[in-house]
Amino acid sequence: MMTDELTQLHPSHRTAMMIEGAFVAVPLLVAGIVLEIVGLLPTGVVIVPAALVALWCLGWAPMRRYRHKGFALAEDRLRVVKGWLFHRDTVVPFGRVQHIDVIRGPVERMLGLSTLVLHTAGSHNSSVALPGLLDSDAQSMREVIRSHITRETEGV
Amino acid sequence: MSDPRGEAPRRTELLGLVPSVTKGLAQAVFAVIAVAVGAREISSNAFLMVTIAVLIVGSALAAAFVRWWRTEYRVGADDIRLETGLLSREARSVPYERIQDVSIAEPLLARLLGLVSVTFETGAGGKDEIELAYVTRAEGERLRAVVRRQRETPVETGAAGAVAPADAAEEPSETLFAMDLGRVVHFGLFEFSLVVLGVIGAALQQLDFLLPFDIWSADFWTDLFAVQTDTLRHWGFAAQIFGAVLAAVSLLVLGVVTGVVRTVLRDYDFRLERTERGFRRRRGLLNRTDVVMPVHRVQAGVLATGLVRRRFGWHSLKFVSLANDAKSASHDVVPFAQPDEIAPVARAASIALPGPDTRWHRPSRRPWTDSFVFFAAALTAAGMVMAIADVPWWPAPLVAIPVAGVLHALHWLRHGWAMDDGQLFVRTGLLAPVVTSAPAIKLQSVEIARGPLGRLRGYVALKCGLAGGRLEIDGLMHDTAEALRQSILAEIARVDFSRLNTPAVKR
Repeated sequence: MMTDELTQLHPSHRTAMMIEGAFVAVPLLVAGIVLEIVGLLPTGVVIVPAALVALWCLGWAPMRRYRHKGFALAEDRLRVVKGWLFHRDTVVPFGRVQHIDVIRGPVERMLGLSTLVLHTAGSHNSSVALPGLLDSDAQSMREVIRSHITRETEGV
Repeated sequence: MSDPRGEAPRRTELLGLVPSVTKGLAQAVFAVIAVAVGAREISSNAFLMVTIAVLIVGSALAAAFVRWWRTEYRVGADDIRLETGLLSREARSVPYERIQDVSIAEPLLARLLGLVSVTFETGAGGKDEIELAYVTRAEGERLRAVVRRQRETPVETGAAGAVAPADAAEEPSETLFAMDLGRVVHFGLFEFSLVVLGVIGAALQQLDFLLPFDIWSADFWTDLFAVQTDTLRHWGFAAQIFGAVLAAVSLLVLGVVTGVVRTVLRDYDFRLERTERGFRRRRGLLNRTDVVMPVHRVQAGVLATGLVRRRFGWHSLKFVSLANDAKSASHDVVPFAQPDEIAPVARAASIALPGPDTRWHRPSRRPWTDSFVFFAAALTAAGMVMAIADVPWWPAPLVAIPVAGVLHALHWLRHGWAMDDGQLFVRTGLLAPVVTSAPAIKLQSVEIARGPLGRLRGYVALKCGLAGGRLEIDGLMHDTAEALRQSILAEIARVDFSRLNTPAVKR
């Protein structure tokens, strides 16, 4: 089961990360350009690092982070994978879920995305977040997990 | 009382203000002293000083009284409510199903007055728990009985407040473990502690600032010291050695005595009982505590020992439970016992202990090697910098390298894990082994985490979500971790469909 193919997140999630990166990159670029125009420092000392950081925030980081994120929804468990340098591969059995959140931030809402958060009683990993799902997918996943919990509680 | 919706709101005992105010007063006294010493003009004016003292003490009293007056609790049909606050009222409701432990503590002063403090532990961790300080002992027992009764029959309403007091608390119980005074003192001998030195040192430092009297002046000490050294020189070399030995021995005695005293105070008349509702632990000489841990809330056990006591076969067992995240309310169930005394307690909580036939696996050596290489590099660099700067003792960092090496090797040797019959064992520790044992079905999630170094060298850490504790295995190779995770998940899944899954958790 663990060899399940990971499902990629919705491509809009990449856009969402880029927009979030823009909140850092744009002010940085503006500041760099202003300093460049004022000309206190030799040409390129400010703008080049600023541009590199901006490029990282806008392009490289979202692309790479998106490539390494994924999830697998099995019959009785959810697996969430993320990260390249700091890789995290988490499995949450539905039987251990205490409650479920579906969160939509402003950027996500603009793109029609949601983040699904599973809460467990564990002190480590007490909440496992899965971002970048289509609204409808997140809601249906929530229903699946919820019905699983209900079924199990009634079965006891 | 006949109101089916619960009983009328009540306040805690007014007498309970005495212990809580006393605690506040102790701090106030320090404040008064600090003010008096800090500003000489005040200390010379007796009237002003008395006024300030009265103000500080009075405000502490008034605050405590208002807090008491505006705090009301109510035992409802299906929850316990607590209303607090002078201007903004805050009402908290804790449903009985969410109350995991009810613990009763009797600090010294409260105990003299026949009062107890009752804490309803919800597993929310420290801050959000309801604490009623102080109520009469009978009321404490009654509250505990109410909660227990509610937990037993959660559907039934009414009669919640009409529960008869005290008698409900008496249940058939079986003593699982108890320590007599001899055992407690024996335990104390291993609890060597020099905390007293720290306290004295800290107090002296404080007084040093606060009391600029003559005896604290430099002259006083130099004189005293001069006399001492003079005598010592007189005695000669052998006497100096004798003095050093004497100092070491007295330090040792002080440490042992402190350990014994602290242990007796904490664990006097320790008894652990198995009651209908769970494990009940009572202990303490001056501050007697009474804690109940429901059996199904026990998530894991931690079996520990010490460097010296291990030679004599002494071990301790602690429970990891939902209600003790990072709180000092420890769940020490067997503080000091031989393995055959621990076994029945662990069995009662259905926690397996590692036996001689447990197949231990060692983690990969790589994380420890990597860590040591970093240490060695840093120490070498430090040594070189110190040598270049011509600092005395520059070889010290280099000498530390083999020490670090031995410690790393020892740490690695201690590490181990085993998965046996649905039980996950993780062994850690440096000087003495600490084994955490958790039934896999109690685990909440399983994560495989890999950092940058692990990415290069192929090792990962397996981190399990455990309610109220930590369970991690470092330095597994990826395939091993994957296989271990599979078997843990298989265990969880099996239980979810076929075995009873601790019904009270789900409600």
